[in-house]
Amino acid sequence: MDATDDPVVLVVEDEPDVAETYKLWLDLDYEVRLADSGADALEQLDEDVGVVLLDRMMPGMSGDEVLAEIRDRGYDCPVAIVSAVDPDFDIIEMGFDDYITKPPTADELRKTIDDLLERSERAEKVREYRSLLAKRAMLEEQKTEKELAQSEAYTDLQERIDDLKADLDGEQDRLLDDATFVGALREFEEDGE
Amino acid sequence: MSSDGFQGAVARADSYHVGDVVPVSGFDTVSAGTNVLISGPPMLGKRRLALELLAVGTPDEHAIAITPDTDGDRLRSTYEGLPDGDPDRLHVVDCTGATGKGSMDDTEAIKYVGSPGDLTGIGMGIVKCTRDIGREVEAGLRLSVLSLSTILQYADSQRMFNFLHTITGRVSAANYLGIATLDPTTQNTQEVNTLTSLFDAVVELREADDGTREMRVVGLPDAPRTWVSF
Repeated sequence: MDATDDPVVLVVEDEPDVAETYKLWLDLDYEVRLADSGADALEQLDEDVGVVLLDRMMPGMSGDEVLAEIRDRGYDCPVAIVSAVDPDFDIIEMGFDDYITKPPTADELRKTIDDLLERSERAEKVREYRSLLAKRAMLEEQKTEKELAQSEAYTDLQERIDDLKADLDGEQDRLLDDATFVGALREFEEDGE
Repeated sequence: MSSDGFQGAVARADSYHVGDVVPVSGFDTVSAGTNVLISGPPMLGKRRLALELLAVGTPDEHAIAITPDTDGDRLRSTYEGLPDGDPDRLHVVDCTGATGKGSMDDTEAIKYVGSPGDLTGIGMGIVKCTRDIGREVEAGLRLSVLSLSTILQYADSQRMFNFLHTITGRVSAANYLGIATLDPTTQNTQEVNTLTSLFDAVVELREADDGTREMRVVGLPDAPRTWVSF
């Protein structure tokens, strides 16, 4: 995703009025793509898509089938299911990253999208944090205490670690949400298996 | 949050009682939100120590044990044999992938995950347990991963790091006590130190020259870094 552009949100919704309402709400902050069916959604899906909002009850492919196909094709963007039935944790167990109860408010939609985008960002930060810690571990293994104390590179590294740790710790409370907690774990599953 | 109704329960404990389980001064109680790693070579009783740390709280707290190498039933019977071990307050996530009874259906006592490498499944198991525990989480929760070394055979170190970062983050945000065990001889030093950075305190175990077992605690300001027999 290009950092200078708005994040791309793919909205999959078969009711034109509902889809247009979502687009109206989201257009200012995101680049919205509308798909009126599962097949259309898969057509419009590419690497640029940051979040998918997926209606559950659609003619043709159901939301569950679309999710399975998205994963089969190797896309790991977060997918939130939009459902009139109040969903439960089993939605998360099925592999969805979050859920929205229909009809959503504009705020709920934006909040969910931002949560999911932040989740991807957090995963990037955790990767970076690990690589900094690994560098530090390597230096500590190779150099004496005295050498480390005099090393500017080591001091800089330590500073970057502290800053990033403070940043990540500040976001910790998000993990109190079960969907976010499981989502944070899933974020890494798709690339490693 | 779109899922406000599913906010993971938060413990209201300020600190967790450890008592004599870890016979090191300055380690009688641990602040809520602390993550403790028990580190040492095989056969020194890491798992037993971790279970004792869970059991000492179960008179009034709940405990979760994630077990990748001992099946849930066996783990529960070990736990029952410990002083203070109340099996009704132990919730097990069995990710051995072999239940021994042919069924992977969750029970009240044990949640099953298909393999030690299914880290998302383990996370879901934890959530199922905290939901079973419900409001009683407020009294305190001790969350343990029994053998990171086993999970590391199934998950590469990047995924493992993220898994631990996420679990330890939940522990500190929710005021649980986090406990994990690791055999550092299975990984290179750099790997071990990188994972260790995620913990607030490390209980190191070793075998002394005369064959007795010794431990020390690293990372707690009040605990001296000297080896003691246990």
